[in-house]
Amino acid sequence: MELASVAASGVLLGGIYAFIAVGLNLVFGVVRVVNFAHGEFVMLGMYATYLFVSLTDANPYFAVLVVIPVMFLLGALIQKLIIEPLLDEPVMQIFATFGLVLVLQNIILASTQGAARSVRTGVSSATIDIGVALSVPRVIIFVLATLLTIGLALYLKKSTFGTAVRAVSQDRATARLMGINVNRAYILTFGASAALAGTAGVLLAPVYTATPGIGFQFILPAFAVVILGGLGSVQGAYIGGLIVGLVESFAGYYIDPALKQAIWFTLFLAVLVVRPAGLLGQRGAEEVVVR
Amino acid sequence: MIERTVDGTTANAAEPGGVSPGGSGSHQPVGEIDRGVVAWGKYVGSMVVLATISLLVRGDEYWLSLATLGLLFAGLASAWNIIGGFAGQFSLAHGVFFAAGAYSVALLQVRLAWSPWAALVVGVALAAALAAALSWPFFRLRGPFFAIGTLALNEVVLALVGYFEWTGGSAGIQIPFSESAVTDRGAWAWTMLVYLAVVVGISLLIIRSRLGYYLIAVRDEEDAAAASGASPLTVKSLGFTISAALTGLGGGLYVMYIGFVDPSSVLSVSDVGIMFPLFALLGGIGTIAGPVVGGLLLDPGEALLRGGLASLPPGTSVIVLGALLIVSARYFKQGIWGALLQLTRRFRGQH
Repeated sequence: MELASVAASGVLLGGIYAFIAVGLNLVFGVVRVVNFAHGEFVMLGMYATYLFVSLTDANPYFAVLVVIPVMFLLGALIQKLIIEPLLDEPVMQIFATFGLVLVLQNIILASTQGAARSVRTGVSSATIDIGVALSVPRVIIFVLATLLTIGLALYLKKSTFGTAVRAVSQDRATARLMGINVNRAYILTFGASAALAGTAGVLLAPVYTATPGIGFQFILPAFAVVILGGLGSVQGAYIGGLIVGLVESFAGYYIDPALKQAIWFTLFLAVLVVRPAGLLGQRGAEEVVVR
Repeated sequence: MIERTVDGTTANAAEPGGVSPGGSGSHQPVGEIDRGVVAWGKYVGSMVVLATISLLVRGDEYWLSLATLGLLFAGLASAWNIIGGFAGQFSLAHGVFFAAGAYSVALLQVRLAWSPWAALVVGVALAAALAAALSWPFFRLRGPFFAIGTLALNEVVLALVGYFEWTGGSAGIQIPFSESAVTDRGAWAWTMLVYLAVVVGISLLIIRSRLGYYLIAVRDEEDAAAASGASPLTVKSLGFTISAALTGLGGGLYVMYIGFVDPSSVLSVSDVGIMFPLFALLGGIGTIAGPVVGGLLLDPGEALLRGGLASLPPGTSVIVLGALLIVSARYFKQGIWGALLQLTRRFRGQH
């Protein structure tokens, strides 16, 4: 029973990582930008949910109605104004997205005076029992992460715009020659990625207490997930999320909670070294990013 | 050869990477030996200027402490620049080497009653050994992946240092003031100036040597460099190791000066790790003088800003730094030093 409960909590944690990583991987795979500020988008979503609940007293999940459009707009603006002019300059991209991390974190720090915010609703502490007790908000994230993965993978495969996005991610120059508006595809992709991160923030608000630095705690597992699962692969991000969640959960239970990060980091590094393109990624994908 | 690198930086700012070298110097033609004399002459001249400034601020405790840390961080930014600027490898793990130096000094001095100067040697050796050992796995990663891998390394070391008790855990280690290596505050400015002079001197030696050319070649065209006989792994490992050793030296001196170390004061990426590249970029990445200018202006600048904005909410000074970082990545890749060079060249061109 103990084993089942550790495994269940690992899978649910994996759902959280998967949800965050799917959006990160979208930008990683399509725009080929390493967005260090993705975790900060999640953090913004969490604070926005707190604000929404304290203003309207509504169910926290309704915050997505505001968070999705606002974060989409923010993401599109960041792509247009900051990333687009730096598309061919990987070193400057790192500087720019790291600058975003500092700005967003400290704007929240300054405006909240560093106070932690948590969203307390009935759903926060609700559990369902399927042999092991599962936290309802975590189950919701896991289910939505699964649906998101299936939906996004299908959309990218079947729809016209999805095909265009895949074309852009494979060969920017040729896609442009085929009449695809590459910069528009990038702006929409970055916006969608930020909206997904914001949604993750809404879903996480009942689970974790929001602090200005919480986004940065998500970014490394999310990178680990993306690299494990494969660059640009939606299914890969989902599977990678489950792997990292399970490893963290088992390492935390059987070894020491304080060392769980060190353990999945070792795993992450091993994969990075042996197969830099990830488990499900296209080989060579990591080379394209450089230039 | 400094001129050549500097020129490339400014002239090719629009090219990928923004820090490509190449392009010929627009100064009056001078022979190889003269170039060397000019470069070392500028080096000695600028150190004399910095020594004079250190003398001028001696009287004021606050300005003296700003200058002392400014000199240290100018040295640290220059040390980062060897691998991050010359070789274009965006390391976010320099906090680890900084911590290796800092913790070696603190632990050996407090736990084993070593002399801090002997402990400093151990710290430098530890930082160099770490970098050499990490080179093989990490330099399999290119571009942004190197940055992610080194960031992950930094975070894990941060977690581990806080976890174990022999490191002092998250509370850190305090070095009793009576055991301080140099108790005279004024003498510390000189110590840091010597540190800066060592780092810049080594940078100058590197950039004027075969290793410097190889580092730049690996940055600009790794595959072409490999094809023409420079093993990218060897070249990058060497640059990384030297850069790490100098960062470890700075970490040891930092803890000797401050007298206290805890995990977040040396390993926090957003407070420490990002500062080395940030100072290097804003000063002029890939040049010799740029990181020095960046560290000397921005480290005290940040402290003054924090003081000046004290009435505003916490974090305001970091918002300014972050915004500077974004704007510079977009509009000011050549940095302060690069912009100055551009201006003087334009001015000379008109006459």
